[in-house]
Amino acid sequence: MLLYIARRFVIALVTLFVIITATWFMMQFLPGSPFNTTGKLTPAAQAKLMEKYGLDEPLLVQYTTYVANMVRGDLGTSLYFRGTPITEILLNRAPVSAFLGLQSLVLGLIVGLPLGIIAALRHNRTADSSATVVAVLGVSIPNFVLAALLQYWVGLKWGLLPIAYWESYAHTILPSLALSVFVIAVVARFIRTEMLEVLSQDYITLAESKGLGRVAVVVKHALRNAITPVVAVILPLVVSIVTGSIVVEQIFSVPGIGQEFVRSIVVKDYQMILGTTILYSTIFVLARLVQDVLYGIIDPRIRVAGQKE
Amino acid sequence: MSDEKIPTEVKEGIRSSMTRRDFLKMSGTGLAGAALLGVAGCSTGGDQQQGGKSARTLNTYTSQDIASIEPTLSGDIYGLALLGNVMEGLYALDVNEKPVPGQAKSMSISSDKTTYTFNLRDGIKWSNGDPVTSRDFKYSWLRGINPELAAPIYYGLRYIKGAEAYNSGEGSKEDVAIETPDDKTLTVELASPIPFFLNLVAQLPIYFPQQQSFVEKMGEKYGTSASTLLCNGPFKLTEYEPSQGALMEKNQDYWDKGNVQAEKVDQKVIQEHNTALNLYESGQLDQVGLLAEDMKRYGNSPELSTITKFHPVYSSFYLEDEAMANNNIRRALAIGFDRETLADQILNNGSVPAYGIVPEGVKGPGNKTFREAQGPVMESDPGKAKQLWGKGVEELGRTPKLELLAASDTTGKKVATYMQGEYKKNLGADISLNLKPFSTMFSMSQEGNFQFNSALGYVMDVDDPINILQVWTTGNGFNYSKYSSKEYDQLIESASQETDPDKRMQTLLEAERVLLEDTPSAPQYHSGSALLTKPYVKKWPKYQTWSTAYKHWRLQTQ
Repeated sequence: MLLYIARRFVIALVTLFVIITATWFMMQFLPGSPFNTTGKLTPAAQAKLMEKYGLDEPLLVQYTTYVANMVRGDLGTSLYFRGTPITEILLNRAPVSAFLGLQSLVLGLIVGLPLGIIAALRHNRTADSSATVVAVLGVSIPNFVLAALLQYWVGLKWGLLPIAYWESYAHTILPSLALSVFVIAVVARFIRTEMLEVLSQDYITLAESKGLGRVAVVVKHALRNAITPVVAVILPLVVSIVTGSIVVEQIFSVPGIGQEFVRSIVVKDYQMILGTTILYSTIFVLARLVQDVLYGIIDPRIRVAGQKE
Repeated sequence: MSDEKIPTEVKEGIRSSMTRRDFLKMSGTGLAGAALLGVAGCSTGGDQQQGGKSARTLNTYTSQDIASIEPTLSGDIYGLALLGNVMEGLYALDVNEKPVPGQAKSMSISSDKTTYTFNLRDGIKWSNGDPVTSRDFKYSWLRGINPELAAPIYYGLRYIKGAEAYNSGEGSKEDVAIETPDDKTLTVELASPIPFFLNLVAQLPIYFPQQQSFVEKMGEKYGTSASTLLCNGPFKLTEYEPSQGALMEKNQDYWDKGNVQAEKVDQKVIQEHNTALNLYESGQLDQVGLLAEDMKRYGNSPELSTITKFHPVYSSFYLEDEAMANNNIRRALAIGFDRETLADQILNNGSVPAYGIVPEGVKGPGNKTFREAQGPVMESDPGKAKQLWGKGVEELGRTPKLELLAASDTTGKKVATYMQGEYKKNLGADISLNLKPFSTMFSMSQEGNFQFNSALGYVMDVDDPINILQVWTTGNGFNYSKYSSKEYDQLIESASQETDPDKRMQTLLEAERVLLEDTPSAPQYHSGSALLTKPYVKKWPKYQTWSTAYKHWRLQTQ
């Protein structure tokens, strides 16, 4: 098992390195200069700035310098927010996005799990169909549409929750809601399918014929088996929440990483593009790693196959 | 200031990656000025819709990050505008955007109009309690010229004698003609008699004072947060986070505090246009900028007002392109579209049709505006355009294949599509469109990688025609056409040296006529901004440049 994890870890590191390298070189093709915010810089001044930030060096030198600094944890300073270290900006903003993401995930699970279970238990009845409708809507309505609708109705028309900003707990609810609906839908659908499968198993029939109560059967036998695979589906959900929050943060004026990511590309803030890319790809790669490991734990066959390769 | 690149770009970036915007019509383009607003309100919402407001807090917003507030290094209009509220130069802008004494109590100009002597007020203080002295100004100005710092708005200082030499590395700091005989007096000599010097002094943060000991103590951290900036303006900066906004408090040490009504200014960053609209509707913002697509909904609102900005928007022809080098082709394109329909119907947001390069409202000779004195110099004429086009095609020996470069944001696309349709209708010409994100379009235009472009304008810094006309001088970075005319350069140069205001204006009027006769660019419209303002805002400065002045806001309070 340890060997399996170690292998996965090395693969993850290599993936990260490839992503960083590819981004670094592709970034060089972005048109324009990061310093023409006013467009009135003299060529001499531009050259001065290029020199100051080491952008006049040969590409290979710049690249190796960057990697060397990165390994030491130094991601450079922002060209846009002049002089502010990238790590400082990321550290300021990452907790906001993380809080938003985590809250959405938890909310999604709290609502999604019971919804799926009820749907399975009331198979082919009204509750099931309603849950299915909710799930289909949740998966198909993009979160930015939902965010705009929530903001307009709940925030403006009904005045129940703040329209935007990130100031108190109340401010976190609408953006979390907008992000969690997708989670609710996916989790509900997933658990419903799993439950239905489990409920049709022989051992459930056996348990029922032993005279166990409905609740006991569901909780002790069905749910335990149905819920294990959900662990694996959570990780892709984390990824979708992270990408979704790029847009949702924008709509609710949430000072998270998402806004930074988009802006950095547009204003050619090279160091920031790399910083956010590193952060995002680390999350993705880590999610994959954890998923692989969890699969390994859940299903020994995968682990064995991995070793044989 | 160039077109507001960051705002447009960011929106552009988002739009190009997500098609949701078109679906929801949630976001739009950043028309110059429209995005930067002073907005008043208080966060309790609702109840202040009628009558006055309960708190003397202005709630303002910008549509993009306030990237930098380091007085010398800031180059984004949001940072610059913010600095204008927490700091003050020797002169300051009044409610009509005219320069009036600020930190200086009086000023005298030499007879040749090149030497200005400022006398500072008594009792002016920094937010750390130290007095503001003339040396703080000298230090700051020299810092702005210092080539090592590569200040983004250095161009504002280049009129000072010796500045160009020091900045280019040929001269020295000591030869820059700024003198401080004592703590209360500052004398500056200009290289040429520019009549808008006081506008620059009042508006550009690069002319505001900075305290040497504080700047040096803060080092790299200087001007990166509220605690690492010294204030001397109507407001003190108490909180600042580039992507969230700024909080300002009335400066009790400010010399003119009696004329500052607001106790606090809360300026947020709201990137999403619809979010700003919702916040305005809910009473959390008292002024909001509108985009062209909002006009259907708010066109008849009593809260609507429009301002024509000092932001001429034009189409430039790249003269090194074979087809574009042809006079008749250029003229045909320049007069071959209907300017009125473009401004009044396609844009319908306070923009006005442009019959010349210099925008409406810019100073002219005597009491007239430049446009009043000049009248229209370029008028649409489809019949003549068709004729010229035919002639041009004949001269070229072929029908040129033309591509119009434009920004792919809502306004950019709208205007370009309209132009394309007009050329088809009026000239029978098939023009293809090349739509690119604003930043790319801007770079391509600067690098001469285009045939002709649309709606790439220039946001003026001061109320003076030379500010825009100098763009077409040989070698100017904004001279996208690569226009080079000895006659034109000569006119701009002699206007710069002219001390007689009337003669100077006559020279500039002639320059505009020469320019449009040669047609390296064709004026399209003068950009406007449309705003909604809550009824209890009794007065606010309708500035035509990018400045804001919360000092001049007056609210009806409860």
